[in-house]
Amino acid sequence: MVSLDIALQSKFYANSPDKVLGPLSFRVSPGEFVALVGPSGTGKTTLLNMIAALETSAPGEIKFNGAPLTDKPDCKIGYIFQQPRLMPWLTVAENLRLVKPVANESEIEAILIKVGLGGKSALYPKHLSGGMQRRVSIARAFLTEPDLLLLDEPFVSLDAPNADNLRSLLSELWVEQKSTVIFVTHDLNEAIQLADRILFLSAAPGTVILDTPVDIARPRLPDDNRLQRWKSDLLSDYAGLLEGVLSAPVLKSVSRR
Amino acid sequence: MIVPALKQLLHSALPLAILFLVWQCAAMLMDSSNFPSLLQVFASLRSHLVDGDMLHHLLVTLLRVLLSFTIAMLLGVLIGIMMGAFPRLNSAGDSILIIALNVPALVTIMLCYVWFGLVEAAAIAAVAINKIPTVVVMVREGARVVDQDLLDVARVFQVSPPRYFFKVYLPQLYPFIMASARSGLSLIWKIVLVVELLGRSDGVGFQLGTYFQFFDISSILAYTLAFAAIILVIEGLIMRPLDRFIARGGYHGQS
Repeated sequence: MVSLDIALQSKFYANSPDKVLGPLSFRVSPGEFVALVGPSGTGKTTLLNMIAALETSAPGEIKFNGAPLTDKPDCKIGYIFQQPRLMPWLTVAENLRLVKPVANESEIEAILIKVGLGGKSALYPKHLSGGMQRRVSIARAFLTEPDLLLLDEPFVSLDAPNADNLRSLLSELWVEQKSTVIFVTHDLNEAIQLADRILFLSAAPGTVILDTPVDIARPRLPDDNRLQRWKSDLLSDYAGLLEGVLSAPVLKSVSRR
Repeated sequence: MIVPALKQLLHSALPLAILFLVWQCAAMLMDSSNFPSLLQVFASLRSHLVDGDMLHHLLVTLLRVLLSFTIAMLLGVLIGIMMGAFPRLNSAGDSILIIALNVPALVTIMLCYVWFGLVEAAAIAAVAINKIPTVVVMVREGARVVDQDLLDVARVFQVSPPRYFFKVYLPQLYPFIMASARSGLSLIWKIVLVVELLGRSDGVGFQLGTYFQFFDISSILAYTLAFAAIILVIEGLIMRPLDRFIARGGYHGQS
């Protein structure tokens, strides 16, 4: 497990005068599941990529366990992208072994059984449905037992039952491994169901406009009334929150207990 | 199982059979020693194989083809990857590449023979130098359109450099490398013949030059057929299995 400190002043894309992110600061405790919610174009994916060292950041803006991020982070990072991003020329087992070469057959099969893909290790990605490919990408991320797990809208464009199954699966694997998780989503229901805490981002340039813990006891099921009540209370208190606009003054670290 | 295989064979062989038939009919109609019939060519082929030293010359040429092909592919892929991956290197080397692409093969061969002498190394170098630029161009295009998303996966999961290169990066270039290998093989063996014609004392090219001086068209066509058959065997035994390997998982790259 790893703690994460973010203190971004600003983030611009190369050759663009428009600020994408910042100022932005928050802390994620070890083992915490934090959801980032905000409208499109607020730099959520950019932020994840910066944390994963796929995008540049200024020295000291991102810290793992208090130490500044380097090109090659000391901790193990897992990333579940919007698209599964499996290597088409590798079988399921080879895709998994790519990120963990020492994984033996039984370890591969065990994680595949966990994600409901037992016996599929020899198949190529093209032989799998979209939902199954996402399961493989989840298996790939959890196989490495990451200290930090980044998820970028991994269930977008999936049908509702499939997405529900995968959310439950993600929740189970997180409980088992207790990685620190940063989860980007547009879907507030999803965020409430999964996260310990939700950070709402403003419209671009993205900055935290509300930081609130989700104080609902687990397990949380999708049709749980408590989730719906929590959501409607939140949205009645903060109209425009999902559009990245707060009518009330900026509030941070609000407990809604 | 057998019926589809027979159908496939028939499908491939039929155009060839028609070509041979047209050839035979045309030769019989013209009745000229400058246009031997297919039967005369096969008779010549048989006599060169059984009584002559055709096998020796075929093997010498094949060896030159394989050596120059290997060198051209290795260097071409390496330079192509570097030019595709590093834009500064690409802009610096682009004009040289365009010149290299447009220098006539004959000039390269002559210069190699003049500078290095009429030796085997000069012959191989001349052929490789002719082929390298076309490999570079194809592989460079592949390296330019490598899927960054897949590379990001490898970077995030801290995949080791050798695995990154061989399991993530290089497979994306396979279709481009295959295309350049395919076109390369046919181009190289033609250049090898010129090299042999101009400065070697053995090989198919040397033999063709000799038979040309005697207007022995049957022998020229017999040698051509024999080497084309070897290229067909290489295609069937090496290129097609490689194609199937690359197409595993349904990946054909972006070409």
